[in-house]
Amino acid sequence: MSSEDRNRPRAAEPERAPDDDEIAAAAIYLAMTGARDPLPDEVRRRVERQALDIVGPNPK
Amino acid sequence: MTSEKLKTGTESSVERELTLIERVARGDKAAVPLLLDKYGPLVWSVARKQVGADAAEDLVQEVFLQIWKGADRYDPRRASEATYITTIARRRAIDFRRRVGRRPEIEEIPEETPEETSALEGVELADEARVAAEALAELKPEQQKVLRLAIVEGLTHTQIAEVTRMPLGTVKSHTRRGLERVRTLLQERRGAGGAG
Repeated sequence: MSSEDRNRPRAAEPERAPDDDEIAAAAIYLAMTGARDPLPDEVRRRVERQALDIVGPNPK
Repeated sequence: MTSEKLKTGTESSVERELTLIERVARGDKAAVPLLLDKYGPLVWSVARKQVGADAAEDLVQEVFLQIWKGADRYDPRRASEATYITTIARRRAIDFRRRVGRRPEIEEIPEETPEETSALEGVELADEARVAAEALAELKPEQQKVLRLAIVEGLTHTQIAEVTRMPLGTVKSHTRRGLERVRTLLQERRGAGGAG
């Protein structure tokens, strides 16, 4: 990775756990940003429907 | 919080409450609305900030899709849920912008950035964010500004040099040192007691 991108998340790689730089950057993001806008109802409904198709009663 | 608990360790059998993501990983559908209540606003805010309101809805769905599908890979010893979800949201935002060929706009940047400290007031912060806030407080204002432009606004080093009129090398070193300071503090705290 070039030094240009050291501070930025890499492209999505679902299998890869966050590395220490990404965790540090996320922590900085959380520390620097304040108010959270509520998730709009319609978006929430879609995300919830999506989840219920994926998350199943399959205890490990 | 569920009464379901996880035994950790081999002999001490120390028990702790499962996180919401761990419950999702175990197929607990009841954890889904709780997780959306708690972290939906965070993901929505990251999405709106990073890709704009018009594309935020798609990005939010992508982020949560990855959370549901990758829940079994979440390790609470490495990061709190808020920080983990923020890493996913930021990754997905960068990926999204690359796909659509969109880069953050370079806007007029105020000389002072008082919101960097005021934003901390009244906000429930993840443990790692508290550590980051400590580290940020040690930095000079121009270093904080560079980190904000890089991490919150998503600008490249070149763009930051352009808007701040700082030499590119200075931008890079401010970013690197700020990240290193936070990373080191996080590692020290993790070694002293876990992610929280």
